[in-house]
Amino acid sequence: MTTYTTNEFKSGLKIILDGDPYNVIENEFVKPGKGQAFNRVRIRNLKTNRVIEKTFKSGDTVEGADVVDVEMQYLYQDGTHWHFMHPETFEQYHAEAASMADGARWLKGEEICIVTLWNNRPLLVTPPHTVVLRVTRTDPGLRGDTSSGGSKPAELETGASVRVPLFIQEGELIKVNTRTAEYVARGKE
Amino acid sequence: MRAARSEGSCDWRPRAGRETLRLRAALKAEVRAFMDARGILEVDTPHLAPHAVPDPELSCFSVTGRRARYWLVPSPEYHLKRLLAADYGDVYSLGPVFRDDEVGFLHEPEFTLLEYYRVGWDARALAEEAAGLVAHLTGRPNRVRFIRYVDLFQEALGLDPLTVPAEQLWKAIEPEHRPVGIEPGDRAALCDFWLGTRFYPHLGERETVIVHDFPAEAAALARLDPADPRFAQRFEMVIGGIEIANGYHELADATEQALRFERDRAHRRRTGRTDVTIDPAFLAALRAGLPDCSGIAIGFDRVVLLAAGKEDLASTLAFPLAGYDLEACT
Repeated sequence: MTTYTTNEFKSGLKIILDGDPYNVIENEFVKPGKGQAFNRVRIRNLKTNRVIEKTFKSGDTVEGADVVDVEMQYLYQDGTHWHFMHPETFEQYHAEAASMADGARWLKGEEICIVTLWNNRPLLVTPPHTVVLRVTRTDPGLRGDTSSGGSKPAELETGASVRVPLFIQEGELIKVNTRTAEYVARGKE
Repeated sequence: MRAARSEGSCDWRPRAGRETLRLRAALKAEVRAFMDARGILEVDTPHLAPHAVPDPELSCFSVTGRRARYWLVPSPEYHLKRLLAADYGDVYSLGPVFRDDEVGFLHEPEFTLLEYYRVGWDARALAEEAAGLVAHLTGRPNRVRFIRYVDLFQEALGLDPLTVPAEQLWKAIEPEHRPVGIEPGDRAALCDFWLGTRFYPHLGERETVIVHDFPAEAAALARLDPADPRFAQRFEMVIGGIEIANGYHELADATEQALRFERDRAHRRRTGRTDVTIDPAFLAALRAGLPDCSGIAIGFDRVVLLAAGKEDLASTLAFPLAGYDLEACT
């Protein structure tokens, strides 16, 4: 197993801490006067997606995590698992609900997602940055009604809900930013 | 000339803007004018030396020549003290020093140090003068607050860091933030943890803070307080959460100094650092007699950082190493 010293920590490095895989976001070197040096590191737990801050004695070593990001096509969901396929090897992988986090609500099928594999098993699924989905339910917008900031709730074909401008009607396609869950523009097939 | 292998991704441009470099040059001129006006002599001390330093937490770069091995000096201290011992009076140097394994927002392996000495001065007088210089250079108010090292702990934790069991300093840290790789009984490392990661970042928002009376264990090259030898006459200057300078009422006792060096070497061996030989010329100079004096080392790049209102050291330098993309540029 590869080990890394704290001075080798840089953004994007994957390490194991207390049994969980983490992604290094930021590494700050702190050295008080002539004393002991520390590395204050911001890391993201790749299982829970939570960002924590850890302080290491400078020069301490940590085990690297065998974590890779692979683009895969979303195939279908079978009730308990979400299935993906590697576009080149056609190898199929299945992810559990925990790995889908909030991502599942944007997927209807065939989207290319980033599947983060840890020891070759899906750890985290990141949907495309934007997706195009059909509006299945929304109230007809009233012209001139600006009390709600010119937007109204809409339900999409995957079950997700977002706020859309008043002029968007049922049956239309819209483009949504999956990171912020916000309407971007009218969508095209 | 050989073309870079990956010309596209290797960033050749200077990092600091022209304005910052102009400011940097102007501040150097200000430093020299300040020193000149006070009769402090600028000396060019060597950057390459036959001996490293035994500081327990410092690594020097070694340089291999064809016939000998040298070290890049981490501080001009030994050379400046040899000048003092030879009665050259107040001296200073402003130039590059080198420390391995120190890269970050506030650290560069090569950085510029302003170090100067005042014969016959005590640490407090020097701290006040240096604070005035730094305020002048950075354009910040010259308001100085002195606080004792132990009082930082007392104020924040209600603990005396030198007398409580070390475990209390460990338990005072929230469990999820306890440093990885530090033993709960390692008092020195825990004190450094509190100081460097918890106290300093919040000090000196609108003033210059002088943290003084460091514990004797962290005396380095400072003399101990004759009235209370549990403390060393050492101080650090903190502004805007950043350690700007480190000063001592200098230890002049050659025997005591040699003893501390051997203790430091033993510590280095215990912690797996490279063992180093002690510069005999430095100890000989102390034996010949160092005049009563105080000295201070000021991180010049950090002064530029404050003056320019920058966030990281690299942005004050034309060609910093921090953030240098080794892979793209080889």
